[in-house]
Amino acid sequence: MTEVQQRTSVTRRIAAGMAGLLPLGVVAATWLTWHDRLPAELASHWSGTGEPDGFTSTGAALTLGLLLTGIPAVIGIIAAFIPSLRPALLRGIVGFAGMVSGMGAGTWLISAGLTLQAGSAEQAVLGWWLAALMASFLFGALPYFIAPKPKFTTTMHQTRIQLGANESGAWSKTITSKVLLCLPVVLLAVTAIMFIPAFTDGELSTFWMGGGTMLLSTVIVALIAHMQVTVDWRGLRIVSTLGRIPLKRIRLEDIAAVEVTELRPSEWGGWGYRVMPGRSALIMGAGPGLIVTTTGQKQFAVTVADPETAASLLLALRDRTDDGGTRHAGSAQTV
Amino acid sequence: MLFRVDAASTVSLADQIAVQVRAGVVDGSLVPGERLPPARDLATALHINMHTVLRSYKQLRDEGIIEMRQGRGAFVSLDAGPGLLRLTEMAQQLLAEARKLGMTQQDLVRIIGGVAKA
Repeated sequence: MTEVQQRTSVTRRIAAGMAGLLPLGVVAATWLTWHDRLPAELASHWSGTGEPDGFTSTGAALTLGLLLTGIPAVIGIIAAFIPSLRPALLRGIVGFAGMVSGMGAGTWLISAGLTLQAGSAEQAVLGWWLAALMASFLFGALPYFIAPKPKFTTTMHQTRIQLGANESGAWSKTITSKVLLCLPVVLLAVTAIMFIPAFTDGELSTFWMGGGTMLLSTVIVALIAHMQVTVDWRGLRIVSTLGRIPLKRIRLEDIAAVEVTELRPSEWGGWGYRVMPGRSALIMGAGPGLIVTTTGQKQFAVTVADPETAASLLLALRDRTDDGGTRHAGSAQTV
Repeated sequence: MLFRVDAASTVSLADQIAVQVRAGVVDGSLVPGERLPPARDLATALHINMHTVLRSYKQLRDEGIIEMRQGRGAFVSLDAGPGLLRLTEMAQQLLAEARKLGMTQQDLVRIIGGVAKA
């Protein structure tokens, strides 16, 4: 996959790295302004939203705060200065680093701030600050969105299979993930170990609730472990081999463009069935695959062997649908 | 694996499919053990009758190129390969030659038996 715009986005890469310094700066600045007023101990743990039930020495809390914000900041900056790092990966790194440092700064601010406000650690009431603490990881969104957006512009597939007037074409390929194929077995074993004691102890509700959830996830994993990808007059379809359940269908008339490319799990959010804003994917691992852009500007990617043939057939069939079959008369016979 | 059938061709639809499966085995796009699309699916995809697909699958099974298991569909036979296909082709030529000479299949088997003994 080629990513253009890499040159122009250097400033955004560095800005994203720098944004990761903010939590560290906040921790350092608040300590500098508060340090002579802070007591020796800070409230550090609350079991509810009331008064604290755990305390830490101010020095330890500060060290923890600086480490939790400092290490991610350094990692984010290093990542921002590696030009060969793919934009999708950079976003992931600075986003995750931001989440960690956001939480680190949030923890420090709440501990120190509330203690300071209340006058002593014992009286620091958490209250609604709990929500702020929970939300502090959202800071990761800032460097994430500052980092340049990954571009998936590749050359659109242009070749078409020549189909005769009375000729129909169908392409089919099975895709298998060895990891996902083994996972159901492991999941079943784990389910058995976890819930058979509950069953023998007569805790049937635990058994049904927990066991049921585990079995459901096992079935879902099994469904996407082995699938068949087909291209024909119905468009691009993906059907699970187990139970023949349709998982995805893109109709011919909805196809705007098709790309043939090497797909990387890191660019599509990992392995399995991935759904992201505006795009989704079925990724079985790094390798050749198809990216279909729909007329609604949504992207769908699937890793599959021999994507060229699939793409060429998809385009040939779509063109035939587009002109309502009038093209049949003029098309060349090649068989 | 790409399947294409042309209703305007003089070759029967079942033969067209069989030819493509054989070609797929020869060029390696179909590997031994690979599953062929279920007959019903392929028929729907190609807008043809399911029995046409089944006829071509049966023909391929008789040639030893694919295996059909009850309820599990059709698979490329594990010993299917370019060698088997070439042999099948030669057997077909042999049979055609024998027919031209007015010989029966039994005569042919006897000749092969004689050659093997010698």
